[in-house]
This record gives sequence, structure tokens and C-alpha cells, in this order.
Amino acid sequence: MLVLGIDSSGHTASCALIEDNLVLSEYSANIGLTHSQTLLPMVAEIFSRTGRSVSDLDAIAVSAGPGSFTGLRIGASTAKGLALGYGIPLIEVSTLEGLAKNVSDMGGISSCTETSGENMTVTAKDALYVHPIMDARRKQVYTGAFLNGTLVGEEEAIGIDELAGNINKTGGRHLFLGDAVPVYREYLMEHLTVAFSFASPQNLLQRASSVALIGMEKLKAGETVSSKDFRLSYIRKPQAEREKEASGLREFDITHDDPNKLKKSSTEDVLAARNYKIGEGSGYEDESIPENL
Amino acid sequence: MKDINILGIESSCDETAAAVIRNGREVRSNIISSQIAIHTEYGGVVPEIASRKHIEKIDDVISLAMKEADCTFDDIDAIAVTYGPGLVGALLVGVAEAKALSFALNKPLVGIHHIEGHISANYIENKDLEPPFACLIVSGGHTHLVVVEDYGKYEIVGRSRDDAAGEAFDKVARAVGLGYPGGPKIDKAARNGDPHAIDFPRGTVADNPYDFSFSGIKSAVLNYINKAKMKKETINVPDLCASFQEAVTDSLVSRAIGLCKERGYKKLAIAGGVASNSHIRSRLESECAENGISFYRPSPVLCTDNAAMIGCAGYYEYLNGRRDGLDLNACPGLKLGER
Repeated sequence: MLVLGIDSSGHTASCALIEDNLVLSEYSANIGLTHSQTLLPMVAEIFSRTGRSVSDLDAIAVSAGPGSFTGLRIGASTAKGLALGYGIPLIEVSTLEGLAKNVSDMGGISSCTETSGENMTVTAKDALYVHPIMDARRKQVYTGAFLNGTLVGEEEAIGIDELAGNINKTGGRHLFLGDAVPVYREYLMEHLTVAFSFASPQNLLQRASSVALIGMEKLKAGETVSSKDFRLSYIRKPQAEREKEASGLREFDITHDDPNKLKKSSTEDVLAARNYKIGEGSGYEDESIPENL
Repeated sequence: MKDINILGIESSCDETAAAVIRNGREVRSNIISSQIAIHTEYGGVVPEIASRKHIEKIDDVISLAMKEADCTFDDIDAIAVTYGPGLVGALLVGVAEAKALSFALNKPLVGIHHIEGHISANYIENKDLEPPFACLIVSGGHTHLVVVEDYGKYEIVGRSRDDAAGEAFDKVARAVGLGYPGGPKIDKAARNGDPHAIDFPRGTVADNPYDFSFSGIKSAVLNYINKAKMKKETINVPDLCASFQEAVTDSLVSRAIGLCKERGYKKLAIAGGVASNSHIRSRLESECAENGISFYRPSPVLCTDNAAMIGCAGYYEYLNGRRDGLDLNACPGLKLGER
């Protein structure tokens, strides 16, 4: 089975093509250009180098969040556009789970680098918790704890201080990776009282091969969605929505009294796509704008 | 001759739209998912929310455009997409989707300027309209007076130095409590008002008679409201709306008609969201008639953001040989006529 993986949730744009468990090709670029400029040309290159075509794909696995809002959407719309023409299913892969997959074979502490801290009395039975941490600004990180590749608890945006406190209470061994590592390395070294380490640069950031490998597992388990039903998980709401909820009604007219209702149940109706016919018999020749435009 | 079908895609602001256009001027489908009900709650378009809704709806919208046009992707000759100007996060959704679709299907990609789309909306219902002609573009983000020299070739004669006309409508509507979106609400309120009740200034720009300025009009309206509030006088909202609308209309009409007369253009078109304003339309219609100028205006449904106009513009750019690569980026500040 052939799966294309895409990740543009952070600074790195990455895509990979895997056949069953073989990584045929992987391209990553972290060169300061926008994903809009780099991602699709890399995808095109992968197909041309491997001699495969989009229509050969069994599924496309995409980082579905958390991450940079715009970055996630470039990845998602690229995947949707590729999938739409041939009805290829999509697979939503958590960005954090994808990151954890980068180090899924690092069960032993010996393979971890830069081990630090004084209480290094580690035994083989000590659990290794993998913590992907992504910079969410405002002194927060998007994170989740993974044990043997499985999420323990929830994915969340949490203060780095709170995270460090929680980890100190957990015990065990801890491995950090993600783009927040360079940001909070010093802080963690100062505040953690458990055994911990940081992933080395080749495993530190998002990789599409990890996303594709998780995608392959999900494909086998039947966990695919159509390109229409694909949804991103931002974790954070838009700032305007948070402010609105915090401050209640503002001075302007509020036409819907319950934003939650709007969001959860009637969004589909509100946004329903309609065909606005043009020409005779369309009903729009009169000088008025259709009501819902 | 073989038919040429263009799939147009538009996501520059708060409508997700796709359309299939045959041979440039025949609309086979014109699908829009409007987010207006959501942004109305915030008193204006919230860019992040707009982007989130675009990515949710875009596949639905494109699929419906194909279905309603009764065609398959095999029938499509090229994909045209708005790549600017607009909200960058919103534009990127349409651009990335269109590029990926173009790559997967091996169809040519044509990037379109949003305003070029608005201008092209005039071709759809006026099969006889051909360049050259003068065009007044009035929308929430743009006020331009241009000469359409040829398909895809524009001379910008005048533009707003400050607010776009649509912005002034939105701000005045908010100030008098009519809410968002301001254009249609002021249009409606003004129907019961006296356009000469209050004398608001007509903004002029010293060094270019064709440039617009709306910040002066807007400030005068806001001052008027504040003064009335301080004196505890009630404001006659219909009169205020009608007088404000009259001032804006005077600015627009005098320049558009002036350009046609000075340069001898016998055709004037209008475009953009504010071009659906009934007062602006009727004033231009009567003044064009007085001056022997043919007046072209799209139906209001084609003045709003839509993809039919992008498909139409895309058809002519496609014939002109324009092709974009897989690295096409969204350009939020794209100028008309720039590449």
C-alpha cells in the first residue's frame, strides 16, 4: 500500500512516500521559505523521482494539529487538493503523535543524548515518557505525553512551568523533542528533578515519514476520512472567539444568541454551499443581493 | 471549436467559492459558501475564523461546482484561483488547494487578481462587452478607477488615498448602530431619507483629480454623530445614511463620468461588492444615459465575492498564455496589473 505523508505544522515542510513499511522517499526543508512555496514542489519531486503518481496512492496522511494555524492549513489544503480529483481518503494524524514516532524505538536510556540531572538512578523497568513540545507562544507549549507511542492523558496547550511541575510528580524517564526544545531547554534543565533528555537534531522536528507510518497503521485499521470530512485540531480557539467569550457581548448587534450552538450544530447549515445560478430564470436579475450573501 | 471549461476558485475573504465557466462567459455553476452569519457576530471579518471555515468547506464547494456543472475533472481545461489581494491565511487555502488539484490532475494553473475577477464579472451577463472600457471598482477593500485596455491589461487612473468606499460604509453603519455589513444596511436605511438633509464634504485629492478620499467624509459623519450625542439630539438615521451615501456617490460618479468624457470612452462598467448599492447604480445609470455612455453592471449576486468571475478572468488569462507554477504563493497586497 502506498501512503503519502505531509507535515507543514511547524517551520519544516516535509513530505514522504512510503510503501508498506518502506520509506521510498522523504523531503524536508527548513529554509525560511513559506510552505506555500516549498511543499507542493517537493511533493511533485517525490512523485517524479519515485515514478509514482497521485492516482497510485491508497491514502494521504496529514499532520492535523496542533501547530501553526496557517501551516496546518497549507498542509491540509494541499492534501485535500491532491485527494479530491481521485477520491483518495485522508488520514488525520496528530502532530504530537507524529513527533513521538520520530523516537519510537528509543526505549533505552543509552540511545538518548545529553542526559542531564543528578538523580540518574535509572533501571530498565523505568518507563520512558516521550514529550513532544511545540512552541505555542505566551510561555505555553502544545504537548502530550506518549508511552510506547500511545498518548497518556490529553493533548493540550499548557504553561511550561505547569508541565515541568507535572513531570516532576510523575517520576520515570522523560524525553523531549519538538521546536520548543531550543526555547525551553535551559528552563527544563533548571527545573526538572527527574531523569530526562532531549532528542538530537535529526529527530527533533516534524518528519513526514513518521506521519506516513502512523497513517499506514491507521489505513490498515480503516481510520480514514474523506477529503470533505477532514478536520484540523487546533487545540486553541481563534483569539477573537476567546475574547468574545471572555468579554461577553460587545456593542454591535449579536444575531445569534448562542455561539456554541452555532459552532456545534448549525455551522453546517450556516455555511451551506449553494449554487447561485446566473442568467434568465435564476431569480437574481432583480436588483437585490440573495439574502444569505 | 472545442469548448473550454475553467474551474474557478476564490477564498480571498469570507466566501468560499468555486465555479465552472464555459468559454469565458457561460456560468455552468456558481457555488458559494458564505460565512457572513458567523462574522456578523464579530462586527466584521475575523481572519482566523475565515481561514478555518475555508479549509472546512473548500472540498464541498469544489465538488458541488463540478456536480452542478454536470462535468468531471476530465472536462476541465484549466484551474483559475485568486492569489491576491485579500487575507493571506484565507487566500492560502484556495491557492494550496488549487495548486495541488492542478498538479494531481495535470491541468494548467492560472493565478488571478481578485479585482480583475470583479471587473470580469461584467463579461458574464454582457456578452457584447469588449475592452476597451472604463471601470469603477468599489468594494470593502478597494476603490479604483481603471481603463480596461484589453483582457488582462489595465491602466489605473485613480484610486483611494485612504479608506476604501466599503470601509467607510462599514464604519458609518457601525457608528449609527446598523451593524455589519454596512453597505446593504445603509442602502436600505437611506431609501427613507433625504440625501440633501446634511451636507457632508466630497473628498478631493489635490494632485490627481481621479483619486478618491473617503476618510474626510467618514470623519465628518462621525463628528456629526458625536456632536448630536453631546447636545443630546436624536439623529435621523435615514437622513444621515442618505446624505452620507450621496456624498460617496457624488465622489464616485463625478470621477467615473469625468474620465469617460475626458478620454471619450463610450462604455462604463462597475464592479465590486459596493457596486450592488442601489443608489450608486441608479445615479450612474442616469448620468451615463445623459452623456451617451453605455452603462454595464453585474447582477448583485455577481458583485459579491464569487468564483464565476474568477473563472471568467481565468479564461482570458488562459487564452493569453498565463501559466503559474506549483510555487505560486498568496500575495495579500497584490497590485492590479502586477505579476
